[in-house]
Amino acid sequence: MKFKIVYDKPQRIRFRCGAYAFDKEYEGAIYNLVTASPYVNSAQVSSANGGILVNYTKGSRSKIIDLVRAINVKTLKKNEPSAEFGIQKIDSDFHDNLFTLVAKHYLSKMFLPAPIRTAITLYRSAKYIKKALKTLWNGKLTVDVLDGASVVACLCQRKFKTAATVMFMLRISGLLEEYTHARTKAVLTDSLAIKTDRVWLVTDDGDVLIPIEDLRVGDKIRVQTGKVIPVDGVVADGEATVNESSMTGEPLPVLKREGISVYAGTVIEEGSIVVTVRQLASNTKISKIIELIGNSEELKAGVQSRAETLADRIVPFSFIGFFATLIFTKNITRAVSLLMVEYSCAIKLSTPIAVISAVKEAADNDITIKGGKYLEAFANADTIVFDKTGTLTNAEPVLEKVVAFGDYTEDEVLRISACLEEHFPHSVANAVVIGAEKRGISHSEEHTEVEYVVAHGIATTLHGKRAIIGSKHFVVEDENVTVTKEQQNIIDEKSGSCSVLYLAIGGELSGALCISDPPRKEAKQAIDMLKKQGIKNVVMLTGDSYRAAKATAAMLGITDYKCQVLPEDKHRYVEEMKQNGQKVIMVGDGINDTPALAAANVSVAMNDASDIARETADITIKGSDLRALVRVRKLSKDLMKRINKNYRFIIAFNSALLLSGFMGIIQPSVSAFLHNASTMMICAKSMTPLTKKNDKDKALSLPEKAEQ
Amino acid sequence: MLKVFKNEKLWCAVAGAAAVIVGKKILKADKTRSLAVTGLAKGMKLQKDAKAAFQNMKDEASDICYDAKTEAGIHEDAAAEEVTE
Repeated sequence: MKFKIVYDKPQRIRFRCGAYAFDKEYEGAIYNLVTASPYVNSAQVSSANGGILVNYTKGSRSKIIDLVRAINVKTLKKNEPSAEFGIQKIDSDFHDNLFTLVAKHYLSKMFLPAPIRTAITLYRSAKYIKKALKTLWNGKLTVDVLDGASVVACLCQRKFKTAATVMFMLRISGLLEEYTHARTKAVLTDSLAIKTDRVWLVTDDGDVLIPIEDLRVGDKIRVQTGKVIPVDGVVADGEATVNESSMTGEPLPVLKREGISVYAGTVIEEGSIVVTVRQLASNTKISKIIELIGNSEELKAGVQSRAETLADRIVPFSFIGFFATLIFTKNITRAVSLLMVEYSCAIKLSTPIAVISAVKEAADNDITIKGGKYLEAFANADTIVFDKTGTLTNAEPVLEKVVAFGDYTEDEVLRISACLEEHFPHSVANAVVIGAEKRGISHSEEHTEVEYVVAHGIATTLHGKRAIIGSKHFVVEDENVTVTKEQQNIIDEKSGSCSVLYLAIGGELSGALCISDPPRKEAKQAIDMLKKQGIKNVVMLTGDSYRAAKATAAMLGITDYKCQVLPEDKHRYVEEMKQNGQKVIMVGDGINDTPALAAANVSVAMNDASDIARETADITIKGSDLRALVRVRKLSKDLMKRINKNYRFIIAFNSALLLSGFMGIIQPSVSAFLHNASTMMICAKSMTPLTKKNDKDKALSLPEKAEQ
Repeated sequence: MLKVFKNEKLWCAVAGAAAVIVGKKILKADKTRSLAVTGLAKGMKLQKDAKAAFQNMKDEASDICYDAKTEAGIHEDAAAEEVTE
């Protein structure tokens, strides 16, 4: 492509190819081509003057010039622009449109002769009148009717200038609304799409991480434990147990091996498989979420829906006011002033803008909120329920102590335990194996094949004797091993707040392993901050013993806890709390938290949560920092405050305008201007971030104690 | 007979008919058509040129802002490179 360099400074260069170099449709393709280069930090492309601005990395100027020189428009495809480019485009289009609109309005006012201006006003008013009549025909009395009526009233009085001003204001409001909606949606798409929807493509040179859009039918992808299978396909290699409950409702996982079909949306519980793609997901999960945020009535914040119905309900009163004023004052100018001003427009516009901006602001902070209503629920909640493992803790248990009984030494107990546990790679087993390694204990395989008893423990035969390791419930109640009072006292004394694994050989207790799962370092601070933000009850659900739960609760300032909770009971506890009138936030991460997440008023999944938990949760947090919950709480409360403040302002300001109009203090054109200007101002204010930068930093700073 | 010619309405009708015939001819004439096309094309070009000029202005303004920021040390990397150059 031929170009002229019009600006050339370190790391920034601007090429100009001329107004006829390429069409608007190619902007996206050129942008994609340029930004695909590793030397390019960012770029801007404009077809208006054929401009290409490139911000590049140090020392790569000549490569950038070669890159732009090599662009051949004829070989480019008019492809879909990326989300980032979309945002740039939305911004620049909005600025251009606003500029054009304002310039046209004032230029025509200055230069066009009055009769032509009147003709244009009449032509434009037809659109509003048509829309109003259509709405009336459908038996509705909405803001559209009010807009149409204001225009007609002005025309009837032959006040064409006022009519033109009213329509100009309405067009600016419309433009602003359209822009906010489009931009918020584009930003959401961008922030949600970047880190998700990538798959491991199996190639001859090893596995490569690619965006799901690049996937083709027949490709092979690798899916591992805890991940959602992103496509429909057939297992080509490997073996895994797959949870298909999202499709079949069957809670037990199904074994999938070579040749068996797997479906998009199901989750691998254990194992790793290679899937041959048979059908691509046409609608990715993220695009569905984005659609839902924008469109679903169900997901709209209650306050938003209320605002919208309220807005339309006020309309008839505006008409009553109009006719009443006309009858009492016999002054049409005053009556029209009342039509120019109404509350509905501002309320209807500013509330969704405030909600969507808050959702966007959260997305910028790596927090995905799947609808305005969840922000509202988060603001109103008084109870927060944490699943302990993986949420309050890192889910990286550590072996603290070993207790030996009978003829066994501590090292022997640990050696045998590690030998059994190493066959099952779950977190507690890892703690035992790593604990043995740290103490320099090596072990050889002396046992027969091991048997895994789901959620309980492991059993095998060691030198002809039955060896079992697992929870107290498994060892004592299921396997009938006796634990004497003396032994129990020793275990209780040594274990403190740790969870205990019991090892029994030949029907007798041989040892116990004390395992702790230390809380995250920011957990206490986060809980304290949540309490300050008005959360009254902080509840912890854990499978740990009473002693361990009590110790953790005391350490973190938790107000209530339920110990030895089975996964299926979590859901029941949440339901009970709701029945007691509490408004519950549930924070969880595992597959077994899913029913509890679904039962709560609003649910949160943290970064390392399983895919299924993330899918169920209303709010997902990309980081693992618990203080993000404080940020969501603050954001949601600030949003509610902003909406209520907006209401108060809109009602006070517009009431003052109505009164002034009624008393004849201000003319209809002035009240139309003030009303629309205030509406625009409040919408613009609603778009500003809720959290100030200083607050953000404050929320993230760890006190010294927590750092240690 | 002369009275008929003095009737204004008649002349109006004749003039109207003549205007329609001439007007139709003018509208159908190649010359008019090419004039209109050229006029429209010129208008479109003018619009495109105006857009390009406006975009140029926007670009230059943004470059000036960028330079000011670089001078103020906001783009540290670029400022350092500029100094070394």
